[in-house]
Amino acid sequence: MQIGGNLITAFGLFGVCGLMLLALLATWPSTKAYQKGRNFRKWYIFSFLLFPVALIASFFISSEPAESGVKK
Amino acid sequence: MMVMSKKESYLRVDDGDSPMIAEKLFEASRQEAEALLHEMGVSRHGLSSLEAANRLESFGMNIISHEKPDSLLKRLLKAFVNPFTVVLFILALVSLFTDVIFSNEKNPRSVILICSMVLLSGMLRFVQESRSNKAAEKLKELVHTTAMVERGDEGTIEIPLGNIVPGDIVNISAGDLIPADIRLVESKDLFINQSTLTGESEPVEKFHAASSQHYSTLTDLPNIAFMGSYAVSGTAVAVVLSTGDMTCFGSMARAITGKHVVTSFDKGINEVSWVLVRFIIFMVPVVFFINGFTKGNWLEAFLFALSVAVGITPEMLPMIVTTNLAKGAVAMARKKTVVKHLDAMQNFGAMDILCTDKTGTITQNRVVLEYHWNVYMEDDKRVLRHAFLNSHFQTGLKNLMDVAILAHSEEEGFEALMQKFVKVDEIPFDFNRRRMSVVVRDNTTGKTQMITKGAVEEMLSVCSFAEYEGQHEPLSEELMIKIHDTVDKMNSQGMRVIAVAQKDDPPATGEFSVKDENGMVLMGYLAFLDPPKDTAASAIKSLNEDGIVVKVLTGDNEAIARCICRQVGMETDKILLGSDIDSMDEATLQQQAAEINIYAKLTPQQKARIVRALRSTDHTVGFMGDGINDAAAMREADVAISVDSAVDIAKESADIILLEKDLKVLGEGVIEGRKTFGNIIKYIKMTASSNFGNMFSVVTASAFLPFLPMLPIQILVLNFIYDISCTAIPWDHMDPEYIKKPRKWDASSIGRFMVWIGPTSSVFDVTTYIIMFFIICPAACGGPFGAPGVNQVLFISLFNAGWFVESLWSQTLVIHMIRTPKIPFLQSRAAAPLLFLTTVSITVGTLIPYTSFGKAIGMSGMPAMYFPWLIGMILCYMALATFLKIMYIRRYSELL
Repeated sequence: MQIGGNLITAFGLFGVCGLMLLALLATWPSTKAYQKGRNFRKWYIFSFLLFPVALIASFFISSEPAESGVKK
Repeated sequence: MMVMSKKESYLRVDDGDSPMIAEKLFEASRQEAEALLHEMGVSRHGLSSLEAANRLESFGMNIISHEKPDSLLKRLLKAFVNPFTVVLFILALVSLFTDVIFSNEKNPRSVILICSMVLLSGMLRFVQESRSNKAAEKLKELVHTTAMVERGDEGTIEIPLGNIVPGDIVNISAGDLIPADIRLVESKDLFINQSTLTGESEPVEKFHAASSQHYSTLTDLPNIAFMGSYAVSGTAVAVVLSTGDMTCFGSMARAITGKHVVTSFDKGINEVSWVLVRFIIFMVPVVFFINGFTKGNWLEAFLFALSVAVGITPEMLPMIVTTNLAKGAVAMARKKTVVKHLDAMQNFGAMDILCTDKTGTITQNRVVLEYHWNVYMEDDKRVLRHAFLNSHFQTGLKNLMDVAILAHSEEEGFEALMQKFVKVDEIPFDFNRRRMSVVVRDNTTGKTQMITKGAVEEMLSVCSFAEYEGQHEPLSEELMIKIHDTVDKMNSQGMRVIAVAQKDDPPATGEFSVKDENGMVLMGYLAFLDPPKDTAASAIKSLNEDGIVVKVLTGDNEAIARCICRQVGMETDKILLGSDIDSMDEATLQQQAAEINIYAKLTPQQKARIVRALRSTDHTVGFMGDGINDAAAMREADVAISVDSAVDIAKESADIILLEKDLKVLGEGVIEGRKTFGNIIKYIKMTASSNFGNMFSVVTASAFLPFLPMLPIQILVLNFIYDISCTAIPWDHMDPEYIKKPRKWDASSIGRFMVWIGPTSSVFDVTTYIIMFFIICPAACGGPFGAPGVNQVLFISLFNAGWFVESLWSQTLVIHMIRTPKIPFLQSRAAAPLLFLTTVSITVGTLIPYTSFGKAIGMSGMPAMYFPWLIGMILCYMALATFLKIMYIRRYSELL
């Protein structure tokens, strides 16, 4: 990999790529939590900010009765 | 269907837009019939065939302009004028100035190339849309609506509505569409429904006498009937005053051409288009200014932003939708289902409740006369003979029972009665009194008698006596109970029972009317059997399995409905009667309608009310009918289904016509509708998500790359290749699991799909930027971008080619990813045309950078080391897309 003087380009592209990847992967814990009756949106934000913690938590949380409008 | 908001104004005398048409109709209304016929150069026997042919040539076909297909020039313009070709044209102009006019090298290659693309894309669109339109027109020809006209030399003949000319003498009977604007010259209890013109659903009576009264509104004219309306009951003979665009309906249609009622399907397409338009409005200035400021070349920045806008525009959406619908319609026609309005196909696939009448759909439609009994249940030929006279002489709509009576009478040799009796008058059938009468005179004795037949209850209400062995006895309470018991018993065996009564020497003053139907003598009853179809039970079961609840809406009584429905395996514990419905408010009806599947003794208005109640509870409701009594409910339904043998008004109201009245045929059509809808939604979702992803990629590239990631012309070529591969989508198939459920249009699902799946491709677009910018291009050019001695032109052209190819691969492969929730290629494979075209697209796109064409549009061939990276990226892309797909399905329980 040859970056040369293109530091801003490198920083920008790697940063955007990482953020987008994180945004996509964050759907995993949030979907898992949703299936256990949790609010998808709140869990998505939690997963985006603290992905590893959210992922582990999503595996260990217990199932709750579904919120209104949320399918189990 | 036309918007009728302006209709009132077109029907008023003082309206300035169609004064000639209005004046002509007022004048014809005032004239005596004979004078008018004389003026129009026609006798009561009609025009000669030769004269009719001459008039057809002078006045043209009886067709309204908006129904005529677009001219060749208009279709060509439509194919060539769209955002894609406009931007290509602008690029060609810029290229002409920069490469030819103001350049020393005078290289016209780019101009020729861009013009070829305009030509190719336009022709592709033109050919595809012409083929689709042709297929749709051919389908329309399968369904004929005709009228009975008098043609002097040929007598009474049936001709297509389009061939009617001014001066034609037409015969109108119940259920007929009024074929043009006509002036009645003879009429008998003629009631016309003019709701298409006036919005008033109650039929109005029309008479043939000349009118001297002043009317302010055309539709109030008592002796004029208008194109677009239909006869509810009665009969008439009329002369045609004007046809086609010169009719009142034609002038309305002409003035508001193009304003269509927006269906849920149109709404959905519009919503998607608007979401993308908003993206474009946001994207174009952002991309333009970022590139302008960072790269300094404002013309190139403008062209790039413009090309990105074109890339996001789903310019193939209309073509893909039209082709999908036309292809679906042709496939349905092969299954004996003709789609009259292509847009209705989506509703057909979305239908989750099918309301149907009983006769002919669930039963065999072969009504056989089983018994002709007197009031004491003994066979009696007199009952049959009177029924024969009634059926033979009535001129209204002959129903299946009339046909059965006539067929049975043939075996009994009653033909001689036709000579012995002459018809004096007739009181036509209507759905409220549910009986009809004819008045006949015996030529030998001169005796006049009124013969009435109809539904038992309604007949008993006008009878005062009963006849047994030639003697009249009062219709006692005891006899009434006996009659009711007998009828109930026959009904519970699935037989339809009608009563026959007569009255000797009815008062002969003036014309006969409903008021004369009283004090009659009950002669007996006729019992008919119309057994259920062998296929009905399995067809209903199959429709239920496909997510469609079948509801039977019949005018017959409860006992027959229960018996027939039980025989075809329907739940018959709960039956709702028309009288119950009248006492219910809307909320109660909505609740009851959701639970109950059998409805009996319904009037046309009650049928329409049930359909309305079901629709208001978020169901997509289909109504299948073939009679006048079904027209109101058909107009209320999301999708109106009829049969080729139906009365004109039912055929006219229908969106879909079955060439065979069978629920099995309908079930097959529904599956085709779902496939078509699936393919449309597939294209929309993949285009929307792909474009949404591209938006991120382009903004990222504009912000962080020191040059344009792709040249404007390269974006357009990429877009063109992708569009070509999408043209095979209408030929793709859907997974069996998808077509098992009714599919409703849900614009919100497109938005969320776009947000979930779109960024997947962006991740790999940006990954491609990284790999091209920091690994492949530096390796091929001898150093990083901007370093001394590095060929920047080669660097950029390689970069452009690398993203061009990756973008094409990911965009094309996403078609296979999105078309199914299963694992593509392994668990679910696309149809051969789609596989072929996507493979060809990828191959051609990958080879382009190595060709002179590629070089002409500013690309260079990538080194071999690019391809392992490409394959790795594509595999990762497919893995990530599959992951997202699984998450999406878990979240929303559906993909498409």
